[in-house]
Amino acid sequence: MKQVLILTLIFLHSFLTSHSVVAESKAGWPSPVMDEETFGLAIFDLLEYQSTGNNGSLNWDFVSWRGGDIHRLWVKSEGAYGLSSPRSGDADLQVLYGKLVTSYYDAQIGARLEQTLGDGQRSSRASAVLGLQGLAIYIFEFESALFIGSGGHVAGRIAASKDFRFTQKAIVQARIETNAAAKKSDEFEMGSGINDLELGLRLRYEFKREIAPYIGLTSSSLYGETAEYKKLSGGKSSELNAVCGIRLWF
Amino acid sequence: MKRQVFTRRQFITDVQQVAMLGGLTYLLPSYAFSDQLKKTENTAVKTVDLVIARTPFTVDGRKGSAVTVNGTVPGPLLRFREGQEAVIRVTNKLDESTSIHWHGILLPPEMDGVPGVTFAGIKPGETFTYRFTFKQSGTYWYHSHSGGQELEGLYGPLIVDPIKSDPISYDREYVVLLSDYSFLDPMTIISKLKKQSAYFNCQKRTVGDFFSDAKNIGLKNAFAERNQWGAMRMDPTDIADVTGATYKYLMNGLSPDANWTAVFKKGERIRLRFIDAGAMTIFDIRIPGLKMTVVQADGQNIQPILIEELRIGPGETYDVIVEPTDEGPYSIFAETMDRSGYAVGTLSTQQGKKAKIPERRTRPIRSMDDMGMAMGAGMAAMPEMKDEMVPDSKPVKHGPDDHGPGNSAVPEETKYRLHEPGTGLENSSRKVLVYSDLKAIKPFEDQRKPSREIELHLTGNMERYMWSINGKTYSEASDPIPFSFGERLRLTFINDTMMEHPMHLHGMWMYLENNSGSYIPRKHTVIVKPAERLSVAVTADAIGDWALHCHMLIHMELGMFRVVRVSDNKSAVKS
Repeated sequence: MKQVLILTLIFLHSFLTSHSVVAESKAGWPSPVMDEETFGLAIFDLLEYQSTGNNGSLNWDFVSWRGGDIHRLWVKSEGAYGLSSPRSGDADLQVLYGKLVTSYYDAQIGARLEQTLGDGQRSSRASAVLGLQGLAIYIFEFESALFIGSGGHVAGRIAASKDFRFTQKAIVQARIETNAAAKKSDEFEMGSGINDLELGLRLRYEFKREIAPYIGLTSSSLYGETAEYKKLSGGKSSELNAVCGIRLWF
Repeated sequence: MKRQVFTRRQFITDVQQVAMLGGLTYLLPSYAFSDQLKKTENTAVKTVDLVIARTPFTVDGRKGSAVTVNGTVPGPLLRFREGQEAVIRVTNKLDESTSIHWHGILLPPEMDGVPGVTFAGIKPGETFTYRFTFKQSGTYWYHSHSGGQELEGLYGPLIVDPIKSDPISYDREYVVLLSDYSFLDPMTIISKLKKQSAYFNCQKRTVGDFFSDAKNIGLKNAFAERNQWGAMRMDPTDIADVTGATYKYLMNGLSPDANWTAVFKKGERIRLRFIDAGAMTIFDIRIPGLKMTVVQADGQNIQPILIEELRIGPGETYDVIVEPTDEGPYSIFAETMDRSGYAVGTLSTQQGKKAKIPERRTRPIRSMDDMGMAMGAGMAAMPEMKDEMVPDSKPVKHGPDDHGPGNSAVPEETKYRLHEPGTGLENSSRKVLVYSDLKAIKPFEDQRKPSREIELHLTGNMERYMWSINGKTYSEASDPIPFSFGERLRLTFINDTMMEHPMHLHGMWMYLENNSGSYIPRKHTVIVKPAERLSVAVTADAIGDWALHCHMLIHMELGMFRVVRVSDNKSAVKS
């Protein structure tokens, strides 16, 4: 797995930094401009403590890319880790190749690894990912993915967020995310059909663009079998929680 | 042969003052203080030595570093005479390659100073000798064409005195060189923009702005207006990519607090030679209380025009005459187009005076015209129209090619905008210089109609911070644009983006088709407004490879760059 990843990275690197051949290029002369540089971004859009009654949890949503304008390597992770005993949680890691297919959207393809966390029995599963991510009309950040696992485990995720600026530094982010699955999974306590819907409002203050602590409210609702799983483990199917955290990028 | 053309009074540089201010914090060339620029000696050959090095640089007490020429920002004033041969030896003391390009000067291509196009660049420790003869006169400037060095201070003024007596009479002259300086290094600025293109825009519209708009124009209209921008995924406050949030704006290397001062005597005619050496900044210049007579644009004398404010883009120069009838002080006020900052100096009969800073204007917003929204069905002409654009020309529809993902906003139509002062100056009560005001003193020699037209779409994707021509970066389309030696052709810039692009052609003049008939002016740099269709005629009279690019230097570095190749087809056929 690791070797495959390294090979993929080497391939991508040579691909991203390959130089076009300038017609009749003068030997040894540099390019007059630096339009083939690669750049990168890593952002914790969410990195927060969520109060869930007497049980708190640590949640994150991390996205990063590296590459040029058209071709990029994406690494993403999303997860939650319950801090109460017994500890529990789940996380995923995605490694994707993305290509800018229209002015505003990257089409992504790659792999996802899911892992349950905590004191209980741990399980993991892998799936292939097809994604579409970008800036939607009316300036919504949009992210969608289809996860195709073995044994007919097909799941989907759609997330969107929009910023409302109160001052140049105080910004409210409205966020919506929903997950759905074709087949239920006991290990991941997910049912079939629409699993959940999460709505969030987070007020951040950008001390710097890169560093913005925030407070907010999230409402999460679980549906169908997913809600049943939650009730079995003593949770509620619908919750309103306060969050505090920090949005970071570099 | 001796020629005595100087009838102006001579003044002596105040040496004490140079020592005092120069010793403080700034790295300044001596001309920044002298109240009379020295004319050049009338020799056949003039030799100049320049040393490029990295030097500590302090602005308003904060320490940074600059790439300097002979130790100063801006570099020294280079002054030559038309017909004189220049021998300029440039020594590179940096640890990277460097170059100097003589902006606006007609010269052999190998002396043009563009690494990768006209030469290999000047390697660390090397000395390169530029040698060429000036075939023109006027106010110009020079700057690095290597990486981000111009952003870090490698620029300076260049004046070429006319071989005959100067038709512009004046008693005193000053160079007023405007620039932008950031403590962030250029690659950091570029990478911030790539990560978040609006990183430096601290003047975005807020929820509060929405409610005040709702109060003024009604909730429904305010909502409809927001929706229109939202549907295009564009921000109407996108005026400048790099702003006063990081930039210090300098006048002759001095911040507003350091107050560069031009001293004059009452009743004098003063010639101010404005140069925009800013890497990413368009300035609006005015001198409250004085009118300015513009006498030269991009080094070329024009029919004098009396104005109160002028917009200058990176790469452009304008010479103006002012005639104060009292002692002042007056502010020479150069506010940035996005109003996020300003450079300012003082025009006064004595040092140490400072005029009031004029009231600051609010940040303008882009209009639907800037987006190229069609104003009525069936109004626009089809894109195959090849006639010269005039003020009442019909807007031209954009063709079917949207130029791919590198171009995010395709205007429905583009039009002639040379008579418009531009975003932020539309409703000015002052007389603002517009491009259609520019008229040559006498018709230029080549009055042929262009025999063909090349359309260049200026393209970009603001969300990704991509810049290109026809949707392709230089590296994606590095085949030169072919010109035939001797031909007269039309270059038509079609700005598909909602930002201004000061387009600069090396080696040849661009004759701006501004509806002035045989008096059309010539420029080396033309600002192309959002959704504008701007045409220039070019006489391909210089064989070789020449750069053609946007002078917003980060746009250039990211790919809004091409090479024009002028070749002699006849000799090519023979060989």
